[in-house]
Amino acid sequence: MNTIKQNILVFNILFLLQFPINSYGDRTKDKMYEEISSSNACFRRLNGTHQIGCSSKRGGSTGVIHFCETEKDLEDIIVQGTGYPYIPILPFKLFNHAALHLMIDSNKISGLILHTNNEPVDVIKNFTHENQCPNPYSSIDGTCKKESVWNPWGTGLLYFDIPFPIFYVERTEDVGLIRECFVKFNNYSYQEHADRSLCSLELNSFMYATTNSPTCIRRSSIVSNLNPQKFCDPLGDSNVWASLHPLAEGPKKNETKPIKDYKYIVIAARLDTTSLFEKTSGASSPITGIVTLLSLAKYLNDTVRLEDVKAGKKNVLFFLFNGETYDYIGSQRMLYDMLNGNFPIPNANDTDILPAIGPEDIDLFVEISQLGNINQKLYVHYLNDGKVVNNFVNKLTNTSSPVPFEAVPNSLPPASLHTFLKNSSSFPGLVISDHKTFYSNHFYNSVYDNSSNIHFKYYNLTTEEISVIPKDSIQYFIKNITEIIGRSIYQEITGHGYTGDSKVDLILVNELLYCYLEDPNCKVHQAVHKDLNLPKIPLALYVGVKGQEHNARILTSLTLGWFTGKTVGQGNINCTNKFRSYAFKYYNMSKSIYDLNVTMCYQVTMNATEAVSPAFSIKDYDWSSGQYSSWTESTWKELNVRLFLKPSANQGKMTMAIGCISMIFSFLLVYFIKSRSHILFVPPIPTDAPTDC
Amino acid sequence: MTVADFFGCTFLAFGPPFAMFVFTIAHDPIRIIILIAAAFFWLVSLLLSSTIWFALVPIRNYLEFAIFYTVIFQEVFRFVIYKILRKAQNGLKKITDNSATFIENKHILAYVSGLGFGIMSGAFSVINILADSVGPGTMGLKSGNEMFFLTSSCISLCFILLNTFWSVIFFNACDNRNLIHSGFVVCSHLLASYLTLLNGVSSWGCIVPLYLILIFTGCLAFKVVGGSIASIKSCLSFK
Repeated sequence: MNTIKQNILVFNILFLLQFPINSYGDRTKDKMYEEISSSNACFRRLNGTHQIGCSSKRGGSTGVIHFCETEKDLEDIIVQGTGYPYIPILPFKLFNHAALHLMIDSNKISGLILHTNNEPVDVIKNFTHENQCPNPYSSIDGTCKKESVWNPWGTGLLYFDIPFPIFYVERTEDVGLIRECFVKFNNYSYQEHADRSLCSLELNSFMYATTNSPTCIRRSSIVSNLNPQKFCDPLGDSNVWASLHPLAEGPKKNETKPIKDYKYIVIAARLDTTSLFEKTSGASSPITGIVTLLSLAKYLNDTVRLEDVKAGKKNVLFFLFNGETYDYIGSQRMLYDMLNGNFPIPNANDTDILPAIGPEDIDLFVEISQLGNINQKLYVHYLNDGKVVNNFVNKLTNTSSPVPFEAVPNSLPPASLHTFLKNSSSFPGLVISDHKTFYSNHFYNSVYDNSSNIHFKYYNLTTEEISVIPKDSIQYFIKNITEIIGRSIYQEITGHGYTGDSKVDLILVNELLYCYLEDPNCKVHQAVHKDLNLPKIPLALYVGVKGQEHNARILTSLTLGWFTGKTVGQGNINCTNKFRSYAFKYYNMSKSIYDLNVTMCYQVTMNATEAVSPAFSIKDYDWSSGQYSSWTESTWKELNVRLFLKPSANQGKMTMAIGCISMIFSFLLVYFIKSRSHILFVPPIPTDAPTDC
Repeated sequence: MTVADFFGCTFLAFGPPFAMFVFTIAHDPIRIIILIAAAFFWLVSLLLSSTIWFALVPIRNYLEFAIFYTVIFQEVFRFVIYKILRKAQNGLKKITDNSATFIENKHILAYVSGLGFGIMSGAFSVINILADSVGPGTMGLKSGNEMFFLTSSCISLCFILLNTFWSVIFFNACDNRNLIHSGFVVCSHLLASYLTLLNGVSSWGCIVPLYLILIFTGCLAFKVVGGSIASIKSCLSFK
């Protein structure tokens, strides 16, 4: 780079601060570093007793790249390489317990990059870093036995404290860039690595929190520390709930009267998933559950009339629990609120808006778990075989339908129901899932649980072309089970079978799946949220931390509100200005996905309650008790990956030597010239200094 | 080991000017003031150059043109310093203690202001690069090679010394109305600046001619201030 260009650069940078003009501004730095933009970091989480996940050193961990195609490559570089620390680039299939331990024990590894290697899901076979028994501390003892675990492929690495940073590089171009650099600089004579410049990576994912949640909360509190920096945040967001028909009468003159003596059928599903990295997928769990719950809400809204509910004194509640992956945060909080009389609203017994609902008011709890495996029948798991549960299981199993149901008594996969059963063993609940003794989903809580895992293919159709969707598709599957569950619930409320001809809209199921799996700007989301403009990547379904904008939850709650709400006239500006309370909210939403431009005013019962573990609000909570979820997420400043060329030690030594020699030499020379300047420079003949030239 | 790179490059680029400062300037407050004034005038020339560069959006990416007017601005400001120093000479006489050497040898003024000019230009040319040399990486990933930092420091040192010599020659040329010498200063400045463009292609192709120019300019400056082969001989003879 030349002098003038550098001169100009300084000013260029000053000016660029004010004018966003794309101009000649490449600094030396830009030529030295290549940002790997599609990287997803693994970050650190903490619970009451441990820390899990990864963290880099402060300012970033650096290491020499080594591409590994086989396990032997990894072993070789650990044994032979002299330029350590190394950062191996591994395809996902090589990432397992053995490899990780090899890397940790060698002390020559400073970070790890994972990539998909463009392999399709069916080559990978299985990829799940969840425990073999998910949520082991908050589930009921004995529901996950050693000889028959729910998630047999689980490595448990998600709950491992890894001493170096790990990133997942998503785009193949970025992996190609790293490979190119590796081949050019590193991929020969490994024994001489120490003597030459090597292609390296800097992984920066420094985590502020450490040790465990109580430590980190204590350090973050202003009382014990004058520096008010937050080191970690509790995991949590909001639970979403809605009732099929309003829980209150009215509104008359802006006043509502709670309907108090009803019993409730709860239909629940979880709203979140997780993965080792920032990016999540979650097709089978939780998206199939969410979509089934949403279409069930729509179906029941079409079939169960207000009179039926009034006659049977039974209403339906839809619960979407958030944070269930991390020791049932959402359901624990919901139950805690119920037991303290804070559900559906704080101090529900004292306020005359909505009836207080407790676990004893719940007649039946139907939880929809993973439903991604379309080739099998469905299984109804339950622990407590009370009368209501048995009746309902019979209704499901006896219907002659395209999808057979099988009852699995004395069994309970990881589900929100655990929380309620822990509180009272006679709680009437069951879980509907696609697996009997172990998950049929080989990618539980991983980035591979994507649309191809549940064989989803989107069909952009109108109602007339509905026959294009094959009968063995996930769309049909969900439509069928929604109808079966829906009719059983109809019967549970009214006492007689459903005779109408209402059907679940296959196109709607198709659209709903598309919303979660491919494009969040889909028709359903357009209908419930005007002027939506999200990037065309699936919405993150990680629970996140309190206070974060959680688009998936917001859009799901609006969709649930839309499906359970009722129209109160044309949509206009007055609609949203109507009197709002906990009982009712008003939204302008489209009439249907076929008439997106026809806006109606909807009265919606949907609401949200906080889904943050009670452990964080109970004073002097015993963190080691394990009673409530205690997960927190560390804070960080930046997450990034840069590719660069690491200079060899010899080069630094040489530069230093040249610099020092030239400096010492110049000192001697200048001193010499100065001391003998009267001889060296002949003094000029004294003249009067010119005053003008 | 990149911290070693940083210090090595810093010592290389700024070691010789620092030695010159310590032995020839630091003892006299007036010289320090003149040094800083000269550095200030170089900054003013940079300000004007960059304003023009910023204003001429369409030719912003053509460095060849930018080099031309930045060099011209620098030379204009060298002349401005010359005029100001000559005007201020009588005033300076009154406030200096050892005015004898200072005023009698007018080359000292030229040398001091040239060094100020050079230090500032050297600092601006290399400081961005030095800042980047600290990081974990080195050049060579996308373009350039590992010697980039070293060659940049060499070039920067070369320009610091060249500016000092140019000022000595230029001031003398102005005093004596020697158009050939002042023309030489402008032309060699242009030539040296254009040579830096070669740094991207081949660093040796850039450094060797630059140092040839430096040696030639140095000899000329030496001659201008009254040195000769005979004086070198007598200087080395330690009688």
